[in-house]
Amino acid sequence: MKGIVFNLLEQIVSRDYGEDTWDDLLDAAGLGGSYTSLGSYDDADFFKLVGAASGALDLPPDDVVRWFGRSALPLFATTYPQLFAPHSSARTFVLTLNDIIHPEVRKLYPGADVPEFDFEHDPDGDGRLRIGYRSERKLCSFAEGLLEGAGAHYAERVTIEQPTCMKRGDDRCLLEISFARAPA
Amino acid sequence: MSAGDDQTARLQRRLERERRARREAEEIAERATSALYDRQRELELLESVAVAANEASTLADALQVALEGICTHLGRSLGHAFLVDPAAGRLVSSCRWHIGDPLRFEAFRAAGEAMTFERGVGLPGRVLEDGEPHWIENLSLDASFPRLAGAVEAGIASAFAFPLLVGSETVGVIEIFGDLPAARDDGVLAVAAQIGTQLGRVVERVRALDELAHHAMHDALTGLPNRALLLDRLERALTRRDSALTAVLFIDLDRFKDVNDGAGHHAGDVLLTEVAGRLSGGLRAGDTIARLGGDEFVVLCEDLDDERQAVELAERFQQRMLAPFELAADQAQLVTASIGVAVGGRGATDAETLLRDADAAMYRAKDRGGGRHELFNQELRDRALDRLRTERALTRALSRDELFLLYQPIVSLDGSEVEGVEALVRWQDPELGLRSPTEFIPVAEESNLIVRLGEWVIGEACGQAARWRRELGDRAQLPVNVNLAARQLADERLPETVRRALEEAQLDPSDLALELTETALIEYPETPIRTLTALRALGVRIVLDDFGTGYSSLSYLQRFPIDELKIDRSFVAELGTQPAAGAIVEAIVGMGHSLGIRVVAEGIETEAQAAAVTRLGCDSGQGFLFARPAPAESIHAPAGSLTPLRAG
Repeated sequence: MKGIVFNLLEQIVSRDYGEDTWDDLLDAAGLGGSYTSLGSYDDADFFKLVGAASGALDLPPDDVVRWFGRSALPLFATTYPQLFAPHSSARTFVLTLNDIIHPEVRKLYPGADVPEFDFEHDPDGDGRLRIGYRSERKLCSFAEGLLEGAGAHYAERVTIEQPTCMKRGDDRCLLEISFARAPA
Repeated sequence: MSAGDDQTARLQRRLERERRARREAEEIAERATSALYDRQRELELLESVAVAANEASTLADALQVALEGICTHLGRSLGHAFLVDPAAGRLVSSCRWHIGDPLRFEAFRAAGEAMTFERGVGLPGRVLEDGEPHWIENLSLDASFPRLAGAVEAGIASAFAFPLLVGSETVGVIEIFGDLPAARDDGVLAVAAQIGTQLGRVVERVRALDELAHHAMHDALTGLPNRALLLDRLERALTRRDSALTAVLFIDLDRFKDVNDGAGHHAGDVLLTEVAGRLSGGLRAGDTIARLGGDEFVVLCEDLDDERQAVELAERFQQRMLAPFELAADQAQLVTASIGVAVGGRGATDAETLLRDADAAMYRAKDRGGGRHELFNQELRDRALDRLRTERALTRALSRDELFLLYQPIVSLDGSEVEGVEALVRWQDPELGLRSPTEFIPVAEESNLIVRLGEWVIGEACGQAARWRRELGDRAQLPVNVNLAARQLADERLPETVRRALEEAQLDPSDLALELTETALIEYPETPIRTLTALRALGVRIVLDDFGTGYSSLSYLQRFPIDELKIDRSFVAELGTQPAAGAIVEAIVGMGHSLGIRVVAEGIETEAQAAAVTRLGCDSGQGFLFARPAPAESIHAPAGSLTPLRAG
């Protein structure tokens, strides 16, 4: 996993809970904690940190990861406004993941192992977007957090159902998403 | 531990974390910069090879650029390219090297150029065998390197080699040597593979160009050189300064047309291919055999001491033609050839002339029955010169009004009525007097003069016919027959020429008839129907001349739009002496009439012949018995009162 993910996590934890908390998490996870954005690090480091946070906050790990995704998105929006600017809704922004956003990530972070999503438009006739996700990391809750963050960015309420999930033994995760204008 | 100490410890840890992160980031940046630099240089190398591959005019140039580029890029002092010899399927040196230190590598270079590598043998042979790059990290540990001793002596310690590929075919191998042992570097081999592909494209392009050049210079059926290549080699042979003679043997199959018509074009092609093979087998080293087209072959022999040797070669080729040719399963055929030999040299002759001389000698061989050879000699040379002189004089005659027409009446068989006239061309040469058409018409036919001559005759005859029409009014018709040569019939502009002549003379088309021979129809089998149909559409009548002498006469009457036929004078001459002649004439008449074709008997010289052709049913006659060819002025009287009829 690319160091940038750890840097983001550190940034968010330190901002919301103070720098000492980050130190504590590293101690609890038994990690040295030197992460440089271009470096590549063991995925296990990330899950150790999530586990430590889960213990400290008394939250399920998935909720920690979801929170991380939701909190990370505004940072992306600040750093890469040009990726967000053309869109007026989260839906079209999300649809640029495969073709624009992830290729940009690969450019900045050579070797970044970003997932490829399958998009299905309105499979059930109720206007929802279905996203298929398959990854050894099983970080569908990170995707959920990012999607929620994207909704917030465009002032939309995002509802996500997950009829299948790799963590439940399915061969892929399916995220069924509805976007709605949030009440003003 | 106090809160302050604890805080200090935390800060120190954070500082240490940041330091480590910074160092790591710097290392990553350094590695990336270094990789980028390598990649940049690889790209420059690939680009230089790509540019060379696109721009190099020869494969050698492209190889040179690639060798220099790779060696410079990798800091190696020696590189060498092999090419696959397609015939032998092994590697031979391209004699292209990058040599950093000429003195040190001289012996190794010489050895490399002298060697060839079979599939699987040595470093280049292994590449040829599997189409993969091979890397020898330390030569002294590698038993399969045949040039080891030389390499060690030259201070070479490692090597790698990679293929030049066209698709999956290895067409060459490049080997690069190093002064030190070197570990296999897959990055280097990846770049090498791309270079191998680029150079493969050059090989492919050079091959395509060679093939094009070969096509342009060779006959597709037999694969032999064509006229262009022959002339090129002949010209080069004739410009040589030494005293050796050059011979041209012009070889033409006898009655090849019979094979083509009788056994089919495929059999004809089989025969030509077989002849090409047999003749090629009789060549000496350095001789060239070419196919000029059709059934014409030419052998070019250089370095002869005398004419005798050329004639011996002709004899040798005749020998090779003796065995029957297997044109198809159980279809063997004897075929003979006529060979004309012409010898030149010492800058005395040009290629075209020598070829024409050999052609003339070949025709002499054909005239003498074929299946033999003739040497171009003084007599043939004189004849050729005569012909050339006649040709020039005739060109002059056309522009100076030296030609004129005589007209021979075609009459009703009782001699009472002139039905028309045949226009016959004559030439009043101011120096040589009256010249016979049998002398100058063949010359005109061989050059393209016949077309101009024919145009003149048609124009003149139309003008005369129009004058008669004005003089005679409607009291009588005096249509004019004009003879067409085969070459004219093949001229697609003929119908337009005739139409213009009719228009200029304001002549009714029915007052013009065009006579052509069966031979003309045979000679150009493709064009006549179209041309004749176009002429017929103008309203001009078509007459088949010399009928009965061709060999498939009957079919022509059906296939071509014919109004009238003239029985050949030879049958008329034999009437009364050869019983068969009468039967033939009668058969022709019967057949003609049943197809609605008028029949004219030519060459009637006696009353007996006139009586016979009358009895056999001919419609009209022509011959000295009735009237000789005469100037237009003597044929101005109205039909029926024409004198002197039967003047003999």
